[in-house]
Amino acid sequence: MALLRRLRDQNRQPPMSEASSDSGDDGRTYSRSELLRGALLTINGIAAGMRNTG
Amino acid sequence: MIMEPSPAQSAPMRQPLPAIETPGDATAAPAPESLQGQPAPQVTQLLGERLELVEDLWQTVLRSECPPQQAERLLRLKALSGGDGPADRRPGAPTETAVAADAIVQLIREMDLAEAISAARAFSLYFQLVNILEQHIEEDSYLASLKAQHPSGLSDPFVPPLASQTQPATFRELFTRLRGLGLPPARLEQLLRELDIRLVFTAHPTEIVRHTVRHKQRRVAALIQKLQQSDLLNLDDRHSLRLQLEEEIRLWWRTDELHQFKPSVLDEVDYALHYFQQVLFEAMPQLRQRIHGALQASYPDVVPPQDAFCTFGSWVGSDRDGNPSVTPEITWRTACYQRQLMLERYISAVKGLRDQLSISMQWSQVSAPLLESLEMDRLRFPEIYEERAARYRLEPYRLKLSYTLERLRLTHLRNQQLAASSWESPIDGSTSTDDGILGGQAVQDLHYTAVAEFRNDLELIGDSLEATGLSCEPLQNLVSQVHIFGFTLASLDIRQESTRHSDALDELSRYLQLPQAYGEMDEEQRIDWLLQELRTRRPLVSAAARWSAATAETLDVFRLLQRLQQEFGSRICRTYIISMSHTVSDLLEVLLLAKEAGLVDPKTQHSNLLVVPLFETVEDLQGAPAVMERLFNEPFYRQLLASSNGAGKPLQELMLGYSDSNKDSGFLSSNWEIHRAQIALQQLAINHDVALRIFHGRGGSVGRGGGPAYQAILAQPSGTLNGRIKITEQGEVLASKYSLPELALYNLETVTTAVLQNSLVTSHVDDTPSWNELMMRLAARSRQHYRSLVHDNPDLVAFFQQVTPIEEISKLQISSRPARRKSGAKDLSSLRAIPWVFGWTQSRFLLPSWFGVGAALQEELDRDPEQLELLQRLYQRWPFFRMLISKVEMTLSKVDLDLAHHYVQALGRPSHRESFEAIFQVIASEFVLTRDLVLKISGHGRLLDGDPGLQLSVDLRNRTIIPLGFL
Repeated sequence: MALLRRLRDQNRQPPMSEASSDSGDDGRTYSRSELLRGALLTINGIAAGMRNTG
Repeated sequence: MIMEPSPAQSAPMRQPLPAIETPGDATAAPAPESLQGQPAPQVTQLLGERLELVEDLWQTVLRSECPPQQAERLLRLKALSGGDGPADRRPGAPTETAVAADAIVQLIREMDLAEAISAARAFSLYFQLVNILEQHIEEDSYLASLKAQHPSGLSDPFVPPLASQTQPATFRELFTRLRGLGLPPARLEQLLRELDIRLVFTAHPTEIVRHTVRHKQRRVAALIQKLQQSDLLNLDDRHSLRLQLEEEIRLWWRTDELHQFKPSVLDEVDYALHYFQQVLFEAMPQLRQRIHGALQASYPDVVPPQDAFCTFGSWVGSDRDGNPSVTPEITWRTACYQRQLMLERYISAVKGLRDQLSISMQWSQVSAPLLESLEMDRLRFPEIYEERAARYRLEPYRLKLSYTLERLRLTHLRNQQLAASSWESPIDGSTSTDDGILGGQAVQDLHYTAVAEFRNDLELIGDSLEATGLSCEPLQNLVSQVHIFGFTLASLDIRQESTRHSDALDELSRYLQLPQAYGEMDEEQRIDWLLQELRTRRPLVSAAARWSAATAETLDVFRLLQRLQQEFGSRICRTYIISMSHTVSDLLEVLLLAKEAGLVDPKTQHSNLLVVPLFETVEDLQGAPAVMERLFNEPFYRQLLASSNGAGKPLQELMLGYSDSNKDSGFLSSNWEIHRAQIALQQLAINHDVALRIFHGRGGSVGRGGGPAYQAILAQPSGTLNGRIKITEQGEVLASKYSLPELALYNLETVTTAVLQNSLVTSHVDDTPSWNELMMRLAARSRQHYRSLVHDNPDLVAFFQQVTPIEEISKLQISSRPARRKSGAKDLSSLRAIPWVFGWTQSRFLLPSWFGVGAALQEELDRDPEQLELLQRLYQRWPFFRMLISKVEMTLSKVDLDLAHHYVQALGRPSHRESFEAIFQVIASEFVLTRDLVLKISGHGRLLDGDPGLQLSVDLRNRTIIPLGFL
């Protein structure tokens, strides 16, 4: 959810280029596509973990 | 207090089937502990042992692939995700896990994005390895049950006579038990003769693992299996295997998990067909052998079912409902591709047989029919004869197979030409070849025009071998495959939404300047007009007219169907499913459009199309019997039904949708309405002497009708199956069910035994009036609670959009189909059920699978507290009710309200804080209520106590998944 929050926070900013950045807790900046990629990978992982074990 | 009636009081409303009744139905409940599932100590032990291997491999790869400090942090993250399972905790209660969560959050905060991505990938890898592990355990358990000398229950006459509700039976176990119950052989033989199981693969978009990654998973799975079965290997070989395994996982680690592009429909076709190529082609003959062997042991005089008792269908490349990418051209290419795969398979098999069957006429006799056919072949195919005769003139089987091989090659060649041309550009009957023995000649009619010709050739060989005291297993397997797959591999079902047909007919009627446009007619007027047009051969569609793109596409689909059937036979594409079916006219519209394409002949009243309504909302499920009764009473429709099933009874296929009814009304209401609709429709079919095939649009997650297939089939109303079932196999579960040979056989055998058991052992419990009244009240109350939150709460849409990753999910390039319907609205109505369920699962609410159940149960208990005892009795004695409670129990065990609350707090906007907190409290209260009541009804102290193997697996996942939630 941390990645989702940062991605959404950035999406709520005024329209910016792909190079627009996010300054996270670590003080570094990331592009939207990097954040989206991170969020999608967590979704991917949760989907694997929540596999229908029944 | 509601009293449970005796069987005598609960007079069955439906025709009694000529079957046996289990003594355990309404009078003598099976021992509870056996119904709760096996303790499965072997499963828990195997999981524990093999988990060590997976953990070790995972750690080794992380240490080798990540910088040392990062690897240590990832391992620390994994170590922190221990503690108790979340579902039994009360929200807010301090627990070991809750305390660890703070440490997890702190550790995540220390990570930069690259490390966070590594963490997400690492845990994803871990779960995928665990998934592989569990598949192997399931396979091993199945193999162990096959090897068991004495099927369980044989030695004790007092155990329940049939398999338990949770532990699937093998063929051998089922037939042994049926024999013990005194089932007459004639009854079993009759059912086996009519046995018709159809599994339909779909491309539904929650299968998010790339094809490339699936390949790697398969290789890793094969190596793990080798390593686990390596008792006979020496230490060096084991070490070598272990190194290979590490290397494969390293390669996997360095592969991108996300799709680089949005998959096309043909990518999805390729993906679905992979399971046939890898597993199902080989597995199906084995399934046949297993049922034959089991019958031989218990019912040696019973004729086994036909080879094609279990066949396959597919929606991949043909389901166009909401997917504009599925065009007529795509469906055409899909059909050609499926055919190509089959032909390549058969060519390879026939080559193998030609090598093997080197029997010489000098040393063996040959049947007269085979010799006669060779003579006919010589006259029909002189070119082949000239080429092959000298070499094989004394080897009749090789000679026959040479003819067969060449005809297959020509069929393959023709298929290539068809695939390369458009569906609208028919090619003539000749096939040009510039290779093979016919070197450049144009040949007429040498290819197989129907699969029956190929099958007859093979059967001639088989009969001749048998007549001369020989047998050939590869040939038997090939014949079996030909029966099951034909040249088509899987039948393609067309699916389209009902409004598309209404819109097309409206445009058509306006073009024709009818006194009243179709869109302006009421239902009765529509029915009258449609029937009137159906009874005449006068065409409505003018070739000169210019149609809107949507209408042109709708009309093209029917022309495509006609072309497909003409070229490949009706088996390739015979079923047309109308989603969102509401009325009689919805079906007649499709018939009229089919008539325009030549698929329905008004004069002979013959239809080459099975028109299948899909009822998928609660209102439509309730109205389905009335719709079908009106149609069954219409002589023209009835005659079409009769013409569509050969010499058999008129056959009506109906589809019931679990996903949209669940999204519309909640889990309990949806399941109950489907149950009731089945009973009413079956009774209607009996009254009208129509055979019914119910197509269950279920699978995947519980919120879309998924869950254990065995239990679900046994829970179908008694007497509604009669050996016939059609079920979707959703895209996202294909890998877990069909990626390994024994796993596939386990699933196929499980479905088959469940259908046989449900059909042969009738019970009156579904007819018990007081139980039905109770369920009606529960369903109504549950629906009301569900809708009050999901549909009536004005903040719920914003809640769902903000606290679940629904918007990001739509960016996952996992499917060719859009996540929303075409209306473009951002509300729940346009959202498809699949992302609806997927979103709630990601943020660990899993709300569609249980919300509303607890409140309904509690209200009923408030009305009469003594009903708890009745509910407990229903759980023990009514397969349908037990299935409901078991599914709720399973999904509750995966809910993590602590984590879900974090999603609310982290992702909800400040302006919604108060309203979101209120919604969360409603959900949390309902969760606690539902969990407590489910435990009381099931008698379990903890969720999933009745299934320790599943409990262990869920616990492991619940613990380990926590870091992914926080990332």
